[in-house]
Amino acid sequence: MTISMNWEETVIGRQKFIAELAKLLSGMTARDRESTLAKYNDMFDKAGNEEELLTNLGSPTRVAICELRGYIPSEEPEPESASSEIPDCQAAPDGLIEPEPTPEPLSEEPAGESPPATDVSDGLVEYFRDTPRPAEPEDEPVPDPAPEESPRDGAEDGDPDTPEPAFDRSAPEKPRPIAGRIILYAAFGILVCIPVTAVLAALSLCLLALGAGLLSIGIFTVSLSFAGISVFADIMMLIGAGLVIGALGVPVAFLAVWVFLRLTVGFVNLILRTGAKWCYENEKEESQT
Amino acid sequence: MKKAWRIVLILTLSVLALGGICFALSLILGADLVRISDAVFARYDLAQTILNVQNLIFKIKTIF
Repeated sequence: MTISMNWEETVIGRQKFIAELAKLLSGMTARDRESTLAKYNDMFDKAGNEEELLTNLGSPTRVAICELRGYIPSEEPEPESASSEIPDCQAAPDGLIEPEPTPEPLSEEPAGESPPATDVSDGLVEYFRDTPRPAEPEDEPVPDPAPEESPRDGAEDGDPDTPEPAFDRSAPEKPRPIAGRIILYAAFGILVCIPVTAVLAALSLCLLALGAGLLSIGIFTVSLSFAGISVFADIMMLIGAGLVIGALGVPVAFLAVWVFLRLTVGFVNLILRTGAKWCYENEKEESQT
Repeated sequence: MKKAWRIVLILTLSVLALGGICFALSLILGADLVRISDAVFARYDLAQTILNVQNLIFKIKTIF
């Protein structure tokens, strides 16, 4: 009874684990996700005690992080050897994508020696130390232990031929102010830009007032049709005149808004952007010149 | 902004067309501007209003 209960709990735990892992790996492509889930299913199938394996694997979130760290969507099918490996969780430093770990050939591994502790977490190390590895078929090609060398390794060794990684960890450069240009810019801003901005703002205000005036006159004219006028033709004339005058006021008022937003605000933004470019110089630009 | 301009232009043109139709219809029906002005001036003392506005402008000019 106890055994069957344990077995049931194990199955449920495994199913939950796989389901949760499938949800968490939604960032992968469908094929990679399937292969990853198949890998863990195989692991569960081969494991003698699934509870122990679940304990060693830890939470599905942790396993998903291990899988997704350094994950690169593959277009080609993954090699068979890679599917039987546990992902490297600890080797990748923050902010850098670590290349896929190179699988070590089993033949070079000395008998009775444990795998390196840096590859997997402690629990996984213990598990794989105790669990015998499945024998690989002989016709299957053993992967090259060092098929590709990561650029980071070369950089750490001090190899001058190795290109540096594209990721730059240095702090962003501060733009350097140019005092003479700032003084000129300030003078130009006070003498030219502020008056021009004021004129543009006044123009937009005048247009707004004109549009509002036209609208009010139109509304007033329409309202006159209710001022004791009894002839239908006169009422129609007042309504028609009011509509025409009011209709002219709408685009004028909108033109005022457009002038303010596009011309006035645009002019100020242009001056500020140009000033920021002109008065401050980056070191990169300096080196280019 | 282009969409807003299009909406404003459509609105303006439609209101202008409506106003033009009303105005033309009133002319056809025999509207009279003198009769309208008589009715308006009988109800509103526009001459006094104009005088008040002129006084206001004069006072503002004296301040500056």
